[in-house]
Amino acid sequence: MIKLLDLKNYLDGKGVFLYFNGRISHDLLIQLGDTLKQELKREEVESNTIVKVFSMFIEQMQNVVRYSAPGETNVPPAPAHFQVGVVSVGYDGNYYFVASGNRVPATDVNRIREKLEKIRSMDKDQLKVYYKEMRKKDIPEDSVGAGLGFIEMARKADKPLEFEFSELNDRESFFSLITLINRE
Amino acid sequence: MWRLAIDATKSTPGIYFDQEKNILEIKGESYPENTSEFYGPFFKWLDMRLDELQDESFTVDIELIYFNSSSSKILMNLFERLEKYAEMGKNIDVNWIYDKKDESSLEYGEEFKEDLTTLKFNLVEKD
Repeated sequence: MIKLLDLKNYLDGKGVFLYFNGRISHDLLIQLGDTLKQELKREEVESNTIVKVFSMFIEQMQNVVRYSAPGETNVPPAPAHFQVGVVSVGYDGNYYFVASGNRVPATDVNRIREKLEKIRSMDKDQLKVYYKEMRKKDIPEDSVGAGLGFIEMARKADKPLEFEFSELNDRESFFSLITLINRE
Repeated sequence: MWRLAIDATKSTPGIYFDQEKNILEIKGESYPENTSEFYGPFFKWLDMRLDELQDESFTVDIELIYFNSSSSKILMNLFERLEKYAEMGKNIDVNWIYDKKDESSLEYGEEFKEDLTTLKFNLVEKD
């Protein structure tokens, strides 16, 4: 049987104060975002920091909802706006971390990796220029997002974005992303 | 004739148009589930309204507490549309209303302003 206390102790030990694993919908994202904001307000965290943590959380949750692979079952894929992922927010020494993970199609791995490596190699001024350049580009009418999320996070974060791909099978990989924000 | 009233939700801003004063107000938070789906009908309305604009003034008041990266792109698109009409000599003002307690809200306004040339883009501190 699942040992929930072990899971809880593990998460507590890692400084996690918000954790979700499962199907994520837009409504859930709104609710969890609210919970996160209230939690930080209760601890009297400075409002600029709250905005940063909240913003990272929303960007990452929306990435999960928008870009996850549908999974490997034979049943029809879930609607695109209702995807499976893991998200956690917590403390790590002098930082807050916002981390998320989801399945991505193997064919997307190189594209995402290249994009993130490019962003990681840039300083804040270069990121600003890149952000503005991408913001002015036209996007297809049916696009659900703007492709600016990683750059936005890199600009707000106090450390370069960290990421990892773990191969699940020949069709899918598990993508993890961690962003760090200074605790005052 | 130009009635527009979209009430705010948790993740989408309220968008209202005052027909007598010609003031468009966008206020709240913006992180819609599908950004183009939410803003699409608004842009259709806006294009029609701007096409009909004569010498009268047209003001856009924007007060956003939080907006995500895809909304940022939508805002840029909005300002570029307005700038196109400003270049044609239309009397358009954008007021970016920021809260001085939130450093980033002023910075965001400044970054939009840097990318615009003709459009009057005013950074206005919230009272």
